[in-house]
Amino acid sequence: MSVKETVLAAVAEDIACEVLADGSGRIGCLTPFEYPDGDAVVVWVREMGDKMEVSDYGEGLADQEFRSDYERGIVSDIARGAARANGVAVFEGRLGTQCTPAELGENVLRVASASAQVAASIACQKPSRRKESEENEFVRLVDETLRQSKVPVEREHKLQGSSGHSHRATIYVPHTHTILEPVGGHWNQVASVYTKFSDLAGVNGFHRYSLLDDRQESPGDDVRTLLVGVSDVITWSAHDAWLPHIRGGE
Amino acid sequence: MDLLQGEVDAFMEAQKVVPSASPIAWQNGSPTQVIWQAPVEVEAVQQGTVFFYVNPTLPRRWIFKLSFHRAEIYRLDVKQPMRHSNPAGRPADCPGTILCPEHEHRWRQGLGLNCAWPLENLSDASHERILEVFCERARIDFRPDYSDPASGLQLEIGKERDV
Repeated sequence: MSVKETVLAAVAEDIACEVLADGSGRIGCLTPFEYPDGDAVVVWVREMGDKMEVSDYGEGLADQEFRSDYERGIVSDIARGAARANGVAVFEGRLGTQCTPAELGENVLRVASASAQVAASIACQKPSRRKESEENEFVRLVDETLRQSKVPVEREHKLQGSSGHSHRATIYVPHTHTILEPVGGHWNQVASVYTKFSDLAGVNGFHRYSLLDDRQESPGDDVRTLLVGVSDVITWSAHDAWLPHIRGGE
Repeated sequence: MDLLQGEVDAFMEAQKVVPSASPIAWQNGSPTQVIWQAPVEVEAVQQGTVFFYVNPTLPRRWIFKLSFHRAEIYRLDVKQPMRHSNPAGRPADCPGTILCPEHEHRWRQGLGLNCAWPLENLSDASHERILEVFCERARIDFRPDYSDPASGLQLEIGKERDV
């Protein structure tokens, strides 16, 4: 009996099987399970001696972009959990089992189910919290962009507020007396900018801007609402529009 | 972030650029995941990313994806075997089921990327040709030099197939 015949004999009628065209002898099984985008889950079967290997070849994690080791860790935990729940193994992103031909039908469904669960769990995951390092990177990006646009800037320029307390402007444009405070999403940072601008608002002559990092997602309306009370609020995605104002002090 | 159809359509319609003339630098995410991503700019402002995926353990298993901020709004897939069921409430031109290995997913409000359309006459298209099609359809001026995803990974891919 060929591998395809073995597979067809073992799997349910509603699973279509197709020999891969690469000469490897692997059989692709189109299962009734679906990934979150509606594509059917395919698992692959191949003969390994007297056993059959069933694998999703990592398709449950196919288009995952890992922005950090933290996210990679979460996804690994999800994959391990789904694998355990379905009685399959996970190795380097792949979900799979080895079984006898008699166990093949059940194992095809187990691997397909685990793969669909992994993809669905990840799709439901909320975006990760923004990290401090991303904010530092945003400050660098703003600094570099202003310099490339021929706007002379100073970092950590010391200023005195109306209370007499000293503050440091994260980015300062001296010839237009503009203070630019890049803001990610951390409430600690938002509160710090708010306090700084509240104190500097009492000092004449400074243009105060809170610059929101909306490269991935914009900080919430509550952040805007708070900061607009003490500064102009601008977003990074619109920097072409506001850059002339910063440059010319309009 | 809840997207509106209008802003997604405007981003899709906008002429976009993937800058840099350096070659695509593929990265080995895992033995089954070779990936590359890059910023997408509209008038020099980054508003999204492209993400390409290749599964070297399978023949012609490719994903080309465009995100608007963090939301995926367009994807061109090549996979075989393939079956996709489009959801209820799909656009009128969207078929119920597609079996075509080369297909695209377009974002629709309320349906996300669940609607797919077949792309005909690409059954023999190379990875590079599919990338061109992706860029044409997503209105992307793609400036990095093309490099074959298997170019730096032959040993690992060969090893993987023997596992």
